Amino acid sequence: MRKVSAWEVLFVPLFFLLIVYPILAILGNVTIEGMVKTFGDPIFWDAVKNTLITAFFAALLGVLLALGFGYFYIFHPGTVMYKIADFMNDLPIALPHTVAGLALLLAFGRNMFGFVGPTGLAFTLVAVVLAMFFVSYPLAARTIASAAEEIDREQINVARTLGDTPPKAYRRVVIPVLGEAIFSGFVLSFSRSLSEFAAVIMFGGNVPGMTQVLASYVFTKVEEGEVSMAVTASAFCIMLSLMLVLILRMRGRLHARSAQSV
Amino acid sequence: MLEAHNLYKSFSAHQVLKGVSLSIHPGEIQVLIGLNGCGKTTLQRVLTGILEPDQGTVSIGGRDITALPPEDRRIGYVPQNTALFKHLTIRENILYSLQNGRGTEESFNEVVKMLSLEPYLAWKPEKLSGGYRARVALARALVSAPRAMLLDEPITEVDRAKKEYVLPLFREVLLQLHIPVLYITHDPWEAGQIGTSFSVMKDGIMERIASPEEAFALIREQARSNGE
Amino acid sequence: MGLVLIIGFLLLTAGCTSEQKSLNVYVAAGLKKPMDVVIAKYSNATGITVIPNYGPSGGLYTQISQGQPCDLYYSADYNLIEKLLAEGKVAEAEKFMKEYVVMTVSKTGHGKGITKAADLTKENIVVAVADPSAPVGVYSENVLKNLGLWDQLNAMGNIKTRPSTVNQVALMVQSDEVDAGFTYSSTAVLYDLDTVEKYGYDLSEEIVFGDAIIKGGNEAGAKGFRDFVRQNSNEFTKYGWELYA
Repeated sequence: MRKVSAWEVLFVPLFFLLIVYPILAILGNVTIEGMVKTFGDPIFWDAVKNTLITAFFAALLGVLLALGFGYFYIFHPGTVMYKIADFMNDLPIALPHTVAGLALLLAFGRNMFGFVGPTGLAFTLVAVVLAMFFVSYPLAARTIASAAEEIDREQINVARTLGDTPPKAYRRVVIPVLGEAIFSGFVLSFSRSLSEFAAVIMFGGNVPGMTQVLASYVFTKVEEGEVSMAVTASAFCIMLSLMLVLILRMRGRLHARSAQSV
Repeated sequence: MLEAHNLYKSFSAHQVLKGVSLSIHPGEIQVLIGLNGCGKTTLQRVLTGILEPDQGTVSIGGRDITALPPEDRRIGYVPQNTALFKHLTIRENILYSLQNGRGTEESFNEVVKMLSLEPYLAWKPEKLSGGYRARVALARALVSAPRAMLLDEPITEVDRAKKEYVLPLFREVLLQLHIPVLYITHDPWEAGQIGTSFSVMKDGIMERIASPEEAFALIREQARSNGE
Repeated sequence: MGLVLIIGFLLLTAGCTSEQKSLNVYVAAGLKKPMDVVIAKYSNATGITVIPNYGPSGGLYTQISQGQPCDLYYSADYNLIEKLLAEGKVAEAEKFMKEYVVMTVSKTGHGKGITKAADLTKENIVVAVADPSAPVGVYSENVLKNLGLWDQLNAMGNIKTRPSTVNQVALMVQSDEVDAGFTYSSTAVLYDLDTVEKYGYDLSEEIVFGDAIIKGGNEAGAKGFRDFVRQNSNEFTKYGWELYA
């Protein structure tokens, strides 16, 4: 009988206590009253719709830019442009979110971008997308860059000797192989965007029914003392996140299986 | 004619190429025999255009191509690990250069026939053995209508028995092209099977030798001085 | 390695239990500037460390209600203290200061000729009203509803942003990202904003800042600090607050 290590004994209870239990606490506190009130609130559904749409576009934008970053990573790692981009990958994560929100407001609000509209880009769904993008882009970039690092450079070199310019080689040789990383980069950014809160409030506007996101809806309900609604909305968010994680895992397993069967 | 004049290349303090010159005629298969670390990889990268030399020139047919990027040099390249495109079929691999306006369906059919690759066209690279992967890599480079060929240890991993079959085949195919070919290997026997002329890398410079046998002695000498 | 983790964890939790030498005070965000000054004075005078927790009054109420350790609670909304009283969590409560809702305008708002609330219903006006999670948001809504402007402003879409604290509203007015914002009169003084209208309690409801000593905490220490704050109320009134006599 193998000796059981301290890690094994400690890990399972700790994991359950610190990760699983709080989630169960939310799910366990959902009440019928809460569900009726929340699912009957059109503002809730507006928040759901707005959050899903903006998070989707934020993740899309994140992946596109991450692919651009990947290009510089492979072909021009020595340049100043790349070094700045690489540094900026870490900055949004280190920045407190209200600071990020304020930065976006001052940069894209009407004082600098007044030509776009009466509030510049601020207080619109576009602003929500930008705020979400700003905080979630680093996740997409890191995922894609580390996958790009794994790619066999010789394949790219050969493609070039066969006549591909660097952008063409990137498109034909790198991107197809990045498929998995692109997908998980997207899902990571999407999840991160779903939960973004402070930056979105500052820059997005947080007007119920127009620019309010799910995370802020929950927060407002908590502050208003409407705990049952807050719990229901939170449980909804949890279910959403669980679904996303499940999708990611199923994709991962499908992909592994198809690679084996060849 | 593939020529290089006085190529210098160093990395940090380490001078790898110290004035390499070469000239290869159309129809000549020159084999560069060298141990790992002698600079043959660097030379290969400078010739294909992946690396820029610190000094010196590369030219084809009298035209200076030193400033050209790899995609404009028309030098066919078969790398050591064959680097086939894993996400494409064999057919798509070989036809790759057609999208850049290089090669034709006819040249594709010819090359596939010469290298006996018809049964494998719908396969993915990972299902092929090393010897066949090298054939595909060669076919892919040939279809792109190159003006010179550079092969860097393409069948190093393949076992000797298979090499005895593949090398004459490659030699025949390459000779038919009548373009300059530089073939790099560390194995003097392999050199003898495929080459029409021979050289070694010594102290960062390429030197012609009369036969692969001379290389044996030089390699032994080099190994001794490396402290093996 | 496991031992290090356990010791570290114990140290963390040990540090959290309050000693006689420290005090946990939950304070509404709008009181931060004057409260910081008074806290520093108090520490210098008595050597007792006061640990402030600034936030929206509603959020602080929820924390206290859920049992988080708090000795003294300063709320921007006395209604929240009444809720705590009903929950039996309060040892002693009192009304502290009177506050009013005002409308402030930015440079651009001034240029657009905004002098009263009714002006906000013009075309292309950008208004900031705090989210109801901050009491000032609830009071501002009251004012606009009582003036009969709330529905119209929402329908026009002129309320472009609903930040979560009064300070965020002030920041937006100050940086001229909006034309007008509804804040407390003290906030307007703090941020040096241009105030154009002040609303009476008939429109906003009574806005009373209050303090409450929480049961089960360091009640004696809380009382000492609270009385010190009273004595130093001039630090607060200079921002325009009136003491609730």
